[in-house]
Amino acid sequence: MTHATLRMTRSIRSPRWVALLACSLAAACAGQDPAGNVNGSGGTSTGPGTGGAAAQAGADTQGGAGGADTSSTGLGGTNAGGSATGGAGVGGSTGCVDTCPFANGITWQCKKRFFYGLNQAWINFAGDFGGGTRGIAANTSRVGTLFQDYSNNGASVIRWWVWPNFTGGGVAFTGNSATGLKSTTLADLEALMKLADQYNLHLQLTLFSFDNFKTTTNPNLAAIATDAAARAAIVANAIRPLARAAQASAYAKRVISWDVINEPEWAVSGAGANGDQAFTPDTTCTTITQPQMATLLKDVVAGLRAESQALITIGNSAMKWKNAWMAVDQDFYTFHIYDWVQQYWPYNTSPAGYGVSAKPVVMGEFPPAGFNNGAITYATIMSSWYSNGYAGGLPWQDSSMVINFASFKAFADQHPCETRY
Amino acid sequence: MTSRNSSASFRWVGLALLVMGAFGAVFVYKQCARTESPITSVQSTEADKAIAEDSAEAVPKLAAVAVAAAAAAASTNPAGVGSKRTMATSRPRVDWESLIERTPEAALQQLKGSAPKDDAEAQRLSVYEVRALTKLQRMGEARARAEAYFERWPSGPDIVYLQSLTGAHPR
Repeated sequence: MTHATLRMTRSIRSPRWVALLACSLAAACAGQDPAGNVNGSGGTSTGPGTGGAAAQAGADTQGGAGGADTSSTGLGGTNAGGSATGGAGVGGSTGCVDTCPFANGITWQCKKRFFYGLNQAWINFAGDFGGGTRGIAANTSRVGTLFQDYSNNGASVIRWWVWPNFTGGGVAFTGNSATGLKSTTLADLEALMKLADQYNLHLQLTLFSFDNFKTTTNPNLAAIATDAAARAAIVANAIRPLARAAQASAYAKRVISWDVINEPEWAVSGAGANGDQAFTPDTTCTTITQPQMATLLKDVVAGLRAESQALITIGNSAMKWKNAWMAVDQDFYTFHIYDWVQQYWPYNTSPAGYGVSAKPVVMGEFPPAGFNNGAITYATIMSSWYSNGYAGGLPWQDSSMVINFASFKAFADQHPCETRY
Repeated sequence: MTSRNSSASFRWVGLALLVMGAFGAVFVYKQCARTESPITSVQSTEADKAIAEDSAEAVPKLAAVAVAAAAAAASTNPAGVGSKRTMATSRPRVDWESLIERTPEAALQQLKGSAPKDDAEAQRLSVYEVRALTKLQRMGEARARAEAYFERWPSGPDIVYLQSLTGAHPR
């Protein structure tokens, strides 16, 4: 065996060669998922509201958000056309000046920032808003300790779920028709906002989740979504009162955004939207179609817009279904990414590369230890998003999936002004 | 005479340099081999043995090494993270790692038809099922299986792995 042959044999089985071969194969297979379906990544987006030219305008429409005084806030323009002249850090009518605008960021209260924080999601699943003794108001000490820790480590935004199902008792129903808020719902909301204010944090409140569609849960959001009267009832009697209370609070500015629903795609069956692949729903959910889900989301957004000045987004589960909710009025897009996504829709492709640059893109969930069992680190991911056109990142965490706060804080410390509202 | 002697000396010096060069080349090659991307210790040791042999034998040996390594990894740590158990079974061991990589649909069918001998094996096979479904991009099913795992084994060793892979989380 010659030296050259030796070296070649050695090299061919080296990980670098394998990676190279894999890259070549991936390039050859671009546009196809493992099942051979056409995927949308990198393709031309045909969804409403997309397009490079509109991108900055869309992002900047929030530039007009009013001053720090919550009683006088008003978005300079949330219209899709982007006619407001917000610009980087200049806040429309109030003339406020942003000292460190982040170019691709989300503007709130005259600050255009990299939307940085984390998922708390819940302390008592489905019970935090209206759960009585399980609610936030009854657990302020515990939440306060968490918030202090998060704030000390550089978090600015906390994503928290409101009603991932209706078993907690926060919404009153007659059949599938919501009749109002009950129990401790509003007290819990106020307590959370007050704590956020105390620790200089901002809340992204996620109203629903695909969990609301689980076959075992009742009332089931599938039944509500597909019944016009039930849909109108939940908007009128649950969503709007909640949003109204948040807006009326002395801590109104602490609700930075409404995330209408967490990962609705898991409760949708049938064809994807505008060239997306077909949905692959959670088999434990009652599914509805994409147009039915879009109708629900539009109605909820209309209710939120009527009552609240907070920004609006939808927690899309993956870039795979990037076009699913493009037609729904949102201020910024949110996508989640885990290893199953990262494998085919990698984190280091820019939003423009995915054709979703019409509005800022926040990565709303991802594994706190990074991808591929830590081979791609938290620091690498955040650094990539920060420099590659993304508007923010919120790692997931729960009792088993923990954030390394040294890494978390290190990123915040690198950009102390740009990551803090 | 002088010129003959000197020519012989040159030949010896040349030969010596050649031998030194050969040793040097072998040394440099070994150093290079050591600094390549890390691979698992099982693969590295066995692969190094294989590479030292003729190329005709090396390729099949490397393949066998890969299968053995995958089987070893599968037997101790199906998910690649979190798991600390070791599976000792007298039955013929299926190389799930390779099977899922090569033919996930076939692996899935086999997994669905399998009868785990105990709870630990059921747990392990459950993770493989999620992996096979993920490989097939049948994510709704994969997540439902992951959720079932969370419910059945709330302190299971693969919870973080399954969360990272599928994005499903315990409630």
